[in-house]
Amino acid sequence: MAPFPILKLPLVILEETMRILNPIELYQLSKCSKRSYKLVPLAGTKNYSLRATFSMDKLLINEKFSFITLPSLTSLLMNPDQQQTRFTWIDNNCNLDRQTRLKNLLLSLLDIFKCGIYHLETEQDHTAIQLEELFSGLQGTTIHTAVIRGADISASTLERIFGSVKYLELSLELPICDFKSFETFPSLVYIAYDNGKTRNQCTSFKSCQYLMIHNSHIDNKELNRFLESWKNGNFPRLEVAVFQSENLKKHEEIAGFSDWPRNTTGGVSKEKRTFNWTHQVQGGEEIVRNDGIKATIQLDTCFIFLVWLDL
Amino acid sequence: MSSTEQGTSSAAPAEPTTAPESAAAPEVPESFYYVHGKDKVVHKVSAGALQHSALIHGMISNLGYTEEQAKANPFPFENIDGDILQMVVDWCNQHKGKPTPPEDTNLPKQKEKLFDLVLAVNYLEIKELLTYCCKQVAMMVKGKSPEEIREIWMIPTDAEDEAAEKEAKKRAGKEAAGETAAAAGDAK
Repeated sequence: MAPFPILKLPLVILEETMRILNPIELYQLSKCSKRSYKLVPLAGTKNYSLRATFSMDKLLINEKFSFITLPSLTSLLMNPDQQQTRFTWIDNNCNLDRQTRLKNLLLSLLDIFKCGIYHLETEQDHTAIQLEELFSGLQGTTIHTAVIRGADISASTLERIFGSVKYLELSLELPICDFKSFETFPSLVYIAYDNGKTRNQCTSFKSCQYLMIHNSHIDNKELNRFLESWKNGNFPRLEVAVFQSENLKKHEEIAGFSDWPRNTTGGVSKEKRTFNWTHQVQGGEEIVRNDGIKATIQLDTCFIFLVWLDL
Repeated sequence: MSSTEQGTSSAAPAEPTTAPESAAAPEVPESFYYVHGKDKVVHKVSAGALQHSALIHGMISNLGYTEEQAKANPFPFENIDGDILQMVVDWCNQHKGKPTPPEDTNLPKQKEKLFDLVLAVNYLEIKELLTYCCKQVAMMVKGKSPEEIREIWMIPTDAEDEAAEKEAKKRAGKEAAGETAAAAGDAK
């Protein structure tokens, strides 16, 4: 094939040509030289959708092109497979753990494509140090949705982690911690695993839209305080709250009602969809916020609280 | 100008389409224009075929030439090689009045000429043909490694780029020094 001096083409032709190349081909092109690396954004890669799911050990671009990582192996070459939709990235440092390898690949792709992250999902065994390293590399990146899991993550670590990353929707799946510094988040989902360290749990969640606490220690008294606070307008964004707790007593009062679950026979079934979750209540009781916004509460296997903001 | 009218040869592929058209719609006589490239060989092209080129179409619309005036004043494209212009004219004739299919099999196959062709097509603003040419360029590196891409697309390594940059700076410095010396000589 006759060689073709691509770098001598006018910008308009380069742009059109780059747009035809897929993410794997663009990645390969970026590795040719510094000048070829600069061609990649001409393909409109800024608008790529990048999904980083650490538990799956791969990065997905535009829901089709996957980049996976492997430790350094001499028998493997950096070649895309026949379908051209999968690319194996070999990290030369074979001492790295797989989470660090994937982090390195993620940062490399973000650098090449100059795109944001559509979805980021860390793992339960991500350490605080690993998360801090990951997020220090993501400074200035926009993340559409993030599900943050990790082990032994303190509130101060979280503050450092989130300081310079812009989120549109954030989901935390962590032990209970005080995250008052996240009150400006436009959308926050907090799925917490109560470690029993914090007794006054509910006051921390004022910026939440969706709140789910597993293995909670919340009792009727604390729940009533939370509902009273909601009525007074202290959780303006909250749409769904789910508490699982053995300390909630069905025969004791919640919002002035006792003997739960209530109105299960003949009561209206209501459903609410928030983010990726759908919650349904059969019967229950209605409570009203001071500004007229209504909510349905029900206690059965867990306490469910659905707010009807649009009614 | 030593021009040779090539209306017969360049218009040949278009003849099968022009004949039935003229039978179906005899009331509008087709007008022709003339273009030539670097080799001064003049190609006769119908206005319908030239509509693919936004550049030439714009020129025609502004000039309002009669047949005689058009013949006497062929559009000069001195920056386009004669054989490349021939390819473009052939393609325009073949696709006169028709939209280009996504995978066009009637397009020039000469890979060696692709670079000049893509530049000419871009200059003449033939959008559909440019899209196809860009596809051809992109196809060159499908499934290739960085080393292969570098070779096919003639991408210099970083070291080569740095060396070339140094050389250019050195040359510019020498030229500047030469100009200063010449200016000093003139002043004396």
